[in-house]
Amino acid sequence: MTNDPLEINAPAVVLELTAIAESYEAALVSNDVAALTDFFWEAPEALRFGVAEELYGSDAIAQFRKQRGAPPRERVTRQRTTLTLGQQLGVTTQEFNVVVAGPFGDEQRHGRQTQVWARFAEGWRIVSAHVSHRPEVSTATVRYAQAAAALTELSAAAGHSDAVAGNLATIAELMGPLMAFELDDQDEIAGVFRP
Amino acid sequence: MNPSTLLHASALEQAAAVRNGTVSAEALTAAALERIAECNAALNAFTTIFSDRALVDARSIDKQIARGTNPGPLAGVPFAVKNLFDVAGEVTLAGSRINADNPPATADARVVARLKAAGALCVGATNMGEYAYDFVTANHHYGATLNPHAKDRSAGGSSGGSAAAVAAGFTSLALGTDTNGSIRVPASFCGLWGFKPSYGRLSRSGSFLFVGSLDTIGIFGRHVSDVVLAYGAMHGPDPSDPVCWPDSADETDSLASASTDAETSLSGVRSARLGGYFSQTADELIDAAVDIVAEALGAEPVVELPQPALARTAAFAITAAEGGALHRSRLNRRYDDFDPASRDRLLAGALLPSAWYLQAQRFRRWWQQRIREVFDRVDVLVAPATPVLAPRFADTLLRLGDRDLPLRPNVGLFTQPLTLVGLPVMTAPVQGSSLPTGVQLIGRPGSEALLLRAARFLEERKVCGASLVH
Repeated sequence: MTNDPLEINAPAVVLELTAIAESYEAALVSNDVAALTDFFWEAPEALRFGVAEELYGSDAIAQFRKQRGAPPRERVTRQRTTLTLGQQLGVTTQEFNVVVAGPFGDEQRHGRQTQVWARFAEGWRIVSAHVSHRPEVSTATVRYAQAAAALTELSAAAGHSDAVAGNLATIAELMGPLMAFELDDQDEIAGVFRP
Repeated sequence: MNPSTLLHASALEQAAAVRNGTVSAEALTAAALERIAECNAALNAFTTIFSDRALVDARSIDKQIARGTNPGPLAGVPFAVKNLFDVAGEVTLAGSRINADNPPATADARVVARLKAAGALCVGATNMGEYAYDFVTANHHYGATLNPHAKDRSAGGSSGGSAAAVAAGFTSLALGTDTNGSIRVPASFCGLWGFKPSYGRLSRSGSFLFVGSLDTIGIFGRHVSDVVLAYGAMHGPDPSDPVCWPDSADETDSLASASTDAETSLSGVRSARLGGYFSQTADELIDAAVDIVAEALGAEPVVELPQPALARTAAFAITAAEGGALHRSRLNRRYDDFDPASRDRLLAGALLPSAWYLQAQRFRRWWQQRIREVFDRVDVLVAPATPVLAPRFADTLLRLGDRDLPLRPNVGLFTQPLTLVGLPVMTAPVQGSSLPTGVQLIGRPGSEALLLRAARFLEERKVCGASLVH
């Protein structure tokens, strides 16, 4: 066993792995199923956790790719990192924007992707990957905030509709059980509680 | 008598010493101002000190005494006010940067005027969460108020400056306001008596509101006698506050008897402790405090209120909607000058669907009726004031059972439902080995005298007692 310290981010290795990660991204947005499948290590130990699926083994990953319909829409990289550990191991991450279908129309999501790579005889392959979306406020709530602010001339809300909608979504979640609570027609508003 | 020693006595003793000439109001006020000048920087309790004004008023009290006139039950007693109360000639900040641009108030708030009419002297205005929308007094513009018991911890909010001022012995009395717990939380964290009378009992005229449907004025003190005196001086009808009770018959009489009883008796008073929702806390000291208060009051039965979580949600929605509506035009004009931690919450509140707000208000009525039924069987309910001891400013999570909750919004877990229906509550302080905690004594509307008696009972038996941190 070698005692040499692991070389972190050797420039040539970083360049090589970053280029491969970028070609994975290109295959993803063009929905090149064969290429996507090929990026993963062909082994039962390969693993991919998607936004809504847990795939154990390269067969499950390949199966998922084939069944999947349209590619991700308007997926745009926000930020990407590459970390290499020696010549054989690396981790790439990516934050991205993507558009998904919501109950009231398209919704913007902020996603995160982490891929662990290893160099095999056949080249760099993904041995483990994880994709998630930040929990986001629905576009319907953002649209409500924008429309209500315009209607009531709350100009300060312009430019802050995401934050405002986030607060409204929090209250909405709390309000669910209270709105479901049945009140009698006679339960009118009463101001002061006196003896 | 040494005025600086007297500073640490009760308001009752201070007023007696001033009336009988043992010490002048001017000397006592000067001692308070000196102590504030010396120690305020370490706590950030005060945002404004009214040195000249207080000394002028003090000399006028001394002149009345020299003439043989009785200046009142609070003769020469220095007190502090949360900086949302109008004080003539001073700008009412309400914790904000924005209101600093307002002209000075032209008159004292009603309660300030009434305390002054009873002989008390206002020495300064205290720090608070911006526009009272906060439970920790971490003010974005004026800094955080530190807890006198542990300076890395919060004094509670939003009336944190007033609580810190009394706990540190700057004054024996201070005024605060309570919308969702803003008196009871700081009273608990600072180990003080914190009295929030029934909604509508004290006039809010001349105080900067936050949530009109819930806002209540109240008192911090280190002695029950002082809270009784201040409350007695302040209550009474005021047509300029639309929700102020028009009558106060018998109140003064029963209060007077509360302060003259040789030994307070609670015979015939039915007490119970609140269970269920109110029983899970994050610290054993809090459970122990509730136990000893409940035992002293004979509060063996356990009562569960119906739908307490919905009551809290209703208070939350009413707060959001009314707070947002109140600040609408300021948000449009001065968004950037608001505390970043609350401005987007206020904007959301200003856009709250009316269906939510009205459901919350109608639920409030439903809950009033259920609470009325509870008070058919019980006179005093006992519950913890806060689920945690004073937190560090960096703390973000509150562990309740096996759940981690965001800390700051949940500090008011046990206070918020009760304010929804305007119940009077006395927070009774219990001292732990390092930090204090508070126990809520909750009564039916209008039962202030009974709650003050129960508090006196606990104080006499040394079950509860406020702390003074030198």
